[in-house]
Order: sequence, then structure tokens, then C-alpha cells
Amino acid sequence: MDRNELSALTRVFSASVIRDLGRWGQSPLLARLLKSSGIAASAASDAPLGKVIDQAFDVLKAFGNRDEYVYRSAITQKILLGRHSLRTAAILNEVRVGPSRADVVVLNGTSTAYEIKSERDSLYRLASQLDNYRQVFATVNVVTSPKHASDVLRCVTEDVGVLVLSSRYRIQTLREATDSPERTSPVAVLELLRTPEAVTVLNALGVEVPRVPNTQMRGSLKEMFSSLDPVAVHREMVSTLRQSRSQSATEKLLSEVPKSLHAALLSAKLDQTAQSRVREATVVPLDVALAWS
Amino acid sequence: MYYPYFRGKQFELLALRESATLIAESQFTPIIEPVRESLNGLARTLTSLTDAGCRAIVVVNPRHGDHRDGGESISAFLEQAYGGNDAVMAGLLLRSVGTPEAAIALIDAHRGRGEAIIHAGFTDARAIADALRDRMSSVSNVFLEDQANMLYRRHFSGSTRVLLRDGFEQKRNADYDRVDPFSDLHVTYRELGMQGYGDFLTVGDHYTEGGGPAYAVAIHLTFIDPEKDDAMFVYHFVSDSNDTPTDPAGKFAQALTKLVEMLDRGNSKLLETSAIQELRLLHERQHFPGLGYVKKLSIKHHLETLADYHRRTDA
Repeated sequence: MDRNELSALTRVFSASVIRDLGRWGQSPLLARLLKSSGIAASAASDAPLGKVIDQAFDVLKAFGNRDEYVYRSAITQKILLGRHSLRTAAILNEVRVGPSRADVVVLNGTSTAYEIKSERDSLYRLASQLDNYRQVFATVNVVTSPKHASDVLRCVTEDVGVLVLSSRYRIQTLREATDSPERTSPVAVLELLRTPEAVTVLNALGVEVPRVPNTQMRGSLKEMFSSLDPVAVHREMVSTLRQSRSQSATEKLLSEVPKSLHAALLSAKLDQTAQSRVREATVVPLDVALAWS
Repeated sequence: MYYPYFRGKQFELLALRESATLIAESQFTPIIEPVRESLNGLARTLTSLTDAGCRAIVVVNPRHGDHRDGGESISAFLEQAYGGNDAVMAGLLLRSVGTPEAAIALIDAHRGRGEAIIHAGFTDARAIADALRDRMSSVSNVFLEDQANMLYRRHFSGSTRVLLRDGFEQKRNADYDRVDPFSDLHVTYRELGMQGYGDFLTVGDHYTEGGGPAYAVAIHLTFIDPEKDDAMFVYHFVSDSNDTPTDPAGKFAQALTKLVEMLDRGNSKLLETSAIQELRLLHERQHFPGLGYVKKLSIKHHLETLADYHRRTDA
């Protein structure tokens, strides 16, 4: 598998493909990617598109080919959908924390951030990323490849969990993360919250919401949050976001489309119509899909 | 005379509807390129415009947005809603892609409803001019200045000719200087042999869909400077804390404060338009109405500023 084929495979699971499928029920980009990655040639022409996409994922998840999506998918399947469910936990993708972006955050009883360091990534920046996540999430993990495992263990602090996606596509825990909501910073947590969510948190804590014009709202919230108890703010942040960012409405869709697409669908925001377009697209025979233009 | 070019995004259509009377009185001719699949917003806007007595040009083959692969539904809508009403003309974009035959076929398909041909990168001027020979005087030719040079434009003498210049330089909001030149076409278009001129408002020709969260918030406001031969300039009032994409409301307040300070100094040269009055009110109330709304005010201000200029100078 050469570099171009691999990069085409990576884009099969990109947000643009999902957006196209949701919007139009078809994606010329996906058709091109299936051709240029060589997947189209190796699949039966009457195979349903969903099955072909699964085949693409199987190639991508082979040891040595893995990109960030494979890791994201492993976390989605084995942790979010394996241990929890979309009714009890919410998953956030690419969460901006200061100048960094946490790849995956799971909210159930607590908040857990996962930073992905695939075999294609470098570990440069890891320490500063984790410092940022510690201020917002009670539990912080790095999910990495066997290649990086010993370096990661060496360069991250004791409280950070280290997980390895094994060559056989299993998640192994090298070190458990500690759950430490007390080290979070309410002001940093506030950055994660939309204004109505921040108001919900204040209400839950019995704190009076500032009555100011909307241009001064964030400033006032920041002032208030800075004097609140980190553990209490973190607890209410988790319970607020579990509801406001819940993806339980996506649960049915996930049961009807191939597993390899789950992580991509969970990071897309699709309404009912878009969901049914995606569902219908996955049963289209490959030769029909390849003619999309 | 003035042909402002609108992309049919929601806030642009709202600016048009709310300015319908002004546009009619000033005899401006807005050009609208529909970018949204649903034509409801366009229909409402055209109703407001035609009720007020405006003329408008609607692009039937958009370059951008949901109709970029074909605007049959726009043509059908115009035919059905404005079949016998020449207040709404079909705008035909001629781009660098496409043959002269296809271009002529497109023009002929809309013959009779009053055509405005928008020259946006097409190169074979002679072929189009030949096809239009016997009816040159009844068509309007709109030229994008950077894509149709004088030699090209010369082929269409005898028709109504309009020159469009994108006076709005697009940058990241944080990168704007306080003031930039905008355009002088409103002063010079006749000397360039044109019957009209236009621009892409304070939005710019460059089209973006949605876009991510804003790191900086900017308020763009145009003004005419009598000390510089009535050339038009644009102020950019930009927020200060631009390191994260959070708190657009707070950033708007920062930008708005800069605007109001400038107004209070009394030498801003900004016309006291309805948009400026509304911005003053927002400052008083410290209220952020949303980024689209701010863009709408910026457009309305621009239209009112040019209307005022023509009222003073063309009288």
C-alpha cells in the first residue's frame, strides 16, 4: 500500500464525505477515494457500499497503516459503546482546550480525555497538551501505538493513563489514570461551556446568574467561576454536558450502519433527514456509488 | 447607476429587504446570486423589492453555493413568478469554463426577459458580441473589473455597461488596519465609458460557506471622503482579545467601543445612517445581536452612504 492509497483511505472517513452523504445521499469524493485507494478494484461490484467501507477500514487498521481515525474508532467501539452507551455517556470530538484540541472526551460519571498519538504522530507537544487537559478533565489518557508506548510512559506524569492499541487492535492499559477533579480549574472548564450550559451549571450550584447585557456575560461568568469549588464545577459540567451534548438520537442510526463509520458519524452533526440519507447510501451497490459525480 | 452584488445569504437578503425603499428611490439595481437551495428567502426579497418599485437582477447560473451545479430551479422560479414582469432580469454568468456556444445558448434561453450578462472570466468577447449584435442596445453587460479588461469591454459598446470592482479586501479580521481604500468608481464610472458601477459590498467577492468560529470580530463601515475627491474608504473596527474563538459578544463590544469613540470625536466622516444609529443603540444597551446582524448593518450603511452621495451630486 503506497502513501497515496493510504491517504485516500484516511479521507474515506473524513468529515467531508459524511457531510456529502448527509446532504446529497451521495459523495463523488468518496467514489474517487475508493478508486484511488485501490479498494474499489478489490471489492465485488454489487457489494453494498457499507461493506466496501468496512473493507477500507480493515486495510486502514492493519498495523503500520493506522491513522488517528483508527484510534478514534477503537476508543468509540471499545470504550464508549463497549463499556458505556450513548444513553448514559456523551462523546465529544476535537475539544478545544486553550491552544490544544483533545481528540476524544467521554463524559459519564466523570470526564475522561483521550489524546491520540498514532504511529504516524510525533510526541512533540504531548506534555503541554496534557497540561491543558488536566485543567479541564478529571481523567486524562494517552492512547498510543506499541512503538511510542515506552516513550509516552517516560514523558508523562504519573496521573496520566497510558493505553496502547495493540497490533491485534486491542486496547491494553499500561497504566490506569487517576480521577482527580480537584485539580481542574473552573475558569478553564468554563471555556468548554456554551453560555446556556454555564448558566445550567450555576443554577445547579445554587449560584445566582449574573444579570448583565450579553456582551458582558462571558466576563461576568468568568469572574463568578473563578471563585467556585473545582470539584463541584467539574461535577456539574459533566452532568450538564451529558445532557446538552447527548447523542442518544444517533444510537438508532449506529445500529443500522457499518461499525467502521460509527466514530465518523458521532463527530458529525446530522439531522433526521441527513441520517436517513447516510443510511440509504450505505446499502447502495458499489458500482452505483462509483458512478456518483 | 449602482449595481451592488449580493450573495443570497440570509443576512444579505435581509439587508436588501430592509433597504427596498431606499434602493427604489436611488434607482439602484441589486444583483443577487442565490446560494441557498431553498428559494423562499429570495422570493420574499424580490417581493419586497418589486413592491417598492425596484429593479433587480437574479443570477440563474450561480458560481457558488447550493446551485453551483445548475440553476434550473432559479430559471423556473423567475419564469413562474416574474414571467411578465421585466423588473426582475435574468443574470447570466459567463465564466472562464464553458464554450462560446454554451454561453450563447444560455443567453438565448433567457431571451426576452431582459438579460444582464455578467462577464466573470469568459474570454471570447467577440463571439458573444456577434451573437448580440442586433439587440445590443437592450442588454446589460456587467464586467468584473479584474476579469474583463478594456479591450474585452470595448466589444459591448452600445449596450448598458456596468463595471464591478471588489473594493473589499478580505483578510483575517485580526489583520485589518483601521482604514483601507474601498473604491472610486462611484465618481469615475462615466469617465470609464460605463453607464453603471458596482461592488461586492462590505462582504467581498470571495465566497465562504459558514466558516469556523471567529477569533476576531470586526465591524466594517464605509465612508466617502470629500477631502480625497469623494473617494470611498472603509473603516475596520476590530476586537482586541483575539487569541481564542470564544466570547464573540464580548469581542463585538470591544469593536463597537472603538467605533463609538471614533464617532464621538466628530471627524469620522461616517454618514449618520440608520445602521449607525442602530449601532449606537447597541452600544448603549451593550447588546450583541449576532454576527450576521452586524454584517447586515454594515451592508445597509454602505447602501445608504452611496444613496446619499448620489442624491447630493447627481441632483
